[in-house]
Amino acid sequence: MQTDVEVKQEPTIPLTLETEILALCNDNPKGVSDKSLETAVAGYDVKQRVTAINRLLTMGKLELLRGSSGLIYRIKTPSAVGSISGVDNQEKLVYQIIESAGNKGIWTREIRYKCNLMLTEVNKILKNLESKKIIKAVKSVAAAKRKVYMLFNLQPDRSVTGGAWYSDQDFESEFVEVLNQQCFKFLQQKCENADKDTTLSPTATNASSFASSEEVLEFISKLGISKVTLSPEDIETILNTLIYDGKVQQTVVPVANGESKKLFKALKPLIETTDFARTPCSLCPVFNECRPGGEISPENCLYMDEWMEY
Amino acid sequence: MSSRECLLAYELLQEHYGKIVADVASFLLQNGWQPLRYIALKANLKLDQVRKALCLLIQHKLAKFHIRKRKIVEYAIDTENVLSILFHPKFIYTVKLLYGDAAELIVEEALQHGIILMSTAIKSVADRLPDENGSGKIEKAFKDLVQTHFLQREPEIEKNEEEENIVPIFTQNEADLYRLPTLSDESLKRKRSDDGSDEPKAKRLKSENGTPSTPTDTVEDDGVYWSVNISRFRQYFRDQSIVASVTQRFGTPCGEIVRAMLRISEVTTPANAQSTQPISSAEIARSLPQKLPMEHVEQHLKLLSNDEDQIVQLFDDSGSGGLYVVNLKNSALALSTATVLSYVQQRYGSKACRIFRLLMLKKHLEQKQVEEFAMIPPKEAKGYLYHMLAENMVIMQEVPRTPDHAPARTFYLYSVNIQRLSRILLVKCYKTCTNLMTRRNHLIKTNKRILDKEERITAIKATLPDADEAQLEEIEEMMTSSERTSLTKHQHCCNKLHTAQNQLLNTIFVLDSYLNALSSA
Repeated sequence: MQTDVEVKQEPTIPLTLETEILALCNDNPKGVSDKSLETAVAGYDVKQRVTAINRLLTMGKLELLRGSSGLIYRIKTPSAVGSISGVDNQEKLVYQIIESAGNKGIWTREIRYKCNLMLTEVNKILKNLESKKIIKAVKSVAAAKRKVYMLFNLQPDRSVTGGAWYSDQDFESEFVEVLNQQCFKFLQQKCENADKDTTLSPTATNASSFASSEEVLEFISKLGISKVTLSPEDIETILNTLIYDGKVQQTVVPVANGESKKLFKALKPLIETTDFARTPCSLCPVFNECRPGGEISPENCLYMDEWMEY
Repeated sequence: MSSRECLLAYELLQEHYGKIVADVASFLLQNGWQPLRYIALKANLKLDQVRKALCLLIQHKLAKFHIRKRKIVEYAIDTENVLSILFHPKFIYTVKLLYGDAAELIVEEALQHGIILMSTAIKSVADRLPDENGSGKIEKAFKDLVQTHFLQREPEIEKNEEEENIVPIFTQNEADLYRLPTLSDESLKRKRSDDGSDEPKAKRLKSENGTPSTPTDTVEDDGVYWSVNISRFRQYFRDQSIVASVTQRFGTPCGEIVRAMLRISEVTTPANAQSTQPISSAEIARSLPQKLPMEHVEQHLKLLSNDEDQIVQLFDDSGSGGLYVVNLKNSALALSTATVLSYVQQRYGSKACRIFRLLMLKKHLEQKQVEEFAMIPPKEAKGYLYHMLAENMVIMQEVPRTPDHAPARTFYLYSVNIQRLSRILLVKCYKTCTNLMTRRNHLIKTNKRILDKEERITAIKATLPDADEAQLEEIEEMMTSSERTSLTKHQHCCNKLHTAQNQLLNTIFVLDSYLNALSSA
């Protein structure tokens, strides 16, 4: 009988220690530093304290943070405790960091900065969490080699995936090209129709050759070449590229309700190809090294030979 | 003067006037104002040769002289006029289109002689033209050319009998620039014109000389020399290119309107003005060859002035229908920009051209932004941008965030400078021109043997006009068929090089007029 009492004595000490620590943490919701914990439970020795703390952390009642002066223990709110099971404190830490990044995702290096863990450890944890389907990796459009992590059920933000022009994080250049050509053809056709109608005065002809971005959007959606629905802003970015090609010009007109609308019109070039560009010298890659009498010279120029053939 | 231009000048002078003149000119180009003896010493030429060469250059207005320190006469080359030699064929062709064959021959004579007397010109053209009543037509053509300022009078030597000057001093009355001497029609004999008239005539009144001429006993119109007015031709070409580009972009009616505006202000605007005189829309409508209704004209003008290039601008709303000007500076800028863009497109591709135009519109961009706006795959965009940077089409500006210019913390901004690019492109054009000429000369040298043979055959044929078939055939057989093919090939190549050279002139002209417009502003 005496031995039973003795055996029972041992576990109670750690339990009471745990409840004491919990109580202390509850009192200080902001967290208890290691040092103050030491002074508060001065009766117990270091080993017992450490075991107690570890048990609390594993159970998910406490969380471990690193403060400026050392370790800090904080009581964990019930909601966060319940969400993950079977993970240890480091993983919880990483998880919280990823959660805080929202739908923009966070990069591995930033995770490392925030939790001050080793690279290998962080990678292991991330792999662990991914296999548990708690987080996912999304390839970022901005830097092609980076992967950002975010919670599993969140939709990646537009800035990460790039919106309508990117499918699976790959820039769809053919799609953009096709749209480019179609928009330009539409505007050109409009201009030609306006020119053919000779009964109109010059101002009217000019006015009817303009098109707004909504009209272009309607035309493109009717064509049905796009798998995703495009918004007017998307069409405007395409029309902007046509402006940079010099094929389209833009004006802004005021509309009835006080706002201003952008209109686009197909443009004819100011001059045809410049005559300098018709000589072989303008396209020659070794133009700067060419000298009369040198090794590369007009006398033995191969490009000129070819050019004079036809 | 850049070295490219000096080389081109050397080539041109060698082709037209020979090696000695070219050597003298190149020495002067490299060393600026030099006295006569110095030239002879340094260029290793005899004094006599140098003297003759300088005479030739001065006669053709390619060289000029001044006195330094009252004793020494120094000479220098007028590089702009030398490079204008390139444009001579174009001048002749233009005059032919405008005023016919007689005028074409007059201008050809004037260009060959540099400065020429009116009577000499008419006489030599009459010799060349087979027409019997030619002299009346020729004189009329000459008067037309003077009236529209294509020919101008040379300044006269001041008759100063008190001191003896080492160099002749020229006086020029502005009013006298286009004053024609009276010439009677008596079989190429001419009365002396009244040079010392005191009445200043306004330059606008291009009327013929109405002052009474004192009959003297000298026959020639001595001392009245005429030369080709190069700046007038340049003005004409500039007008042509503006009208062509407006027609291309806005359609024929607008082109006609701009042509009418430029024609009205042809003789009233000085050569390097920024814009023409204000012209009212009523005046424009009146001077159109095909009459358009008034509202249409006004609407076209409004459309033109709303364009972003601002070639035509609204000067003022007063006057009937508003006053409009053609802004020559803006039009030079627009044409020059279009030339640069066309060059970029041909050389680097249309995607690179898109990047280039994007940088032009947005002034300064980072590389990321370029990729974003241009909607080109990032790797390709990077490739084009750096290729253009390597060839100096695009400029990069570092904007550091930290004092140590760490690359990760520095902004790299790309931008485009049209003025700098026009200059680069102009120098490239000059080099290309030199290359084309060198290649042509090389071809002629390599095929010299065949060409000589061809000449001999034609000479022999000419001396035997009544040869019978057999003899003709024998002469023809002197040349084998392979030689014939190589001869045709040589001619084809030479033609191609010549055509390319002439076409290149258009580009040179556009870029040159833009840079001139900038420097005079």
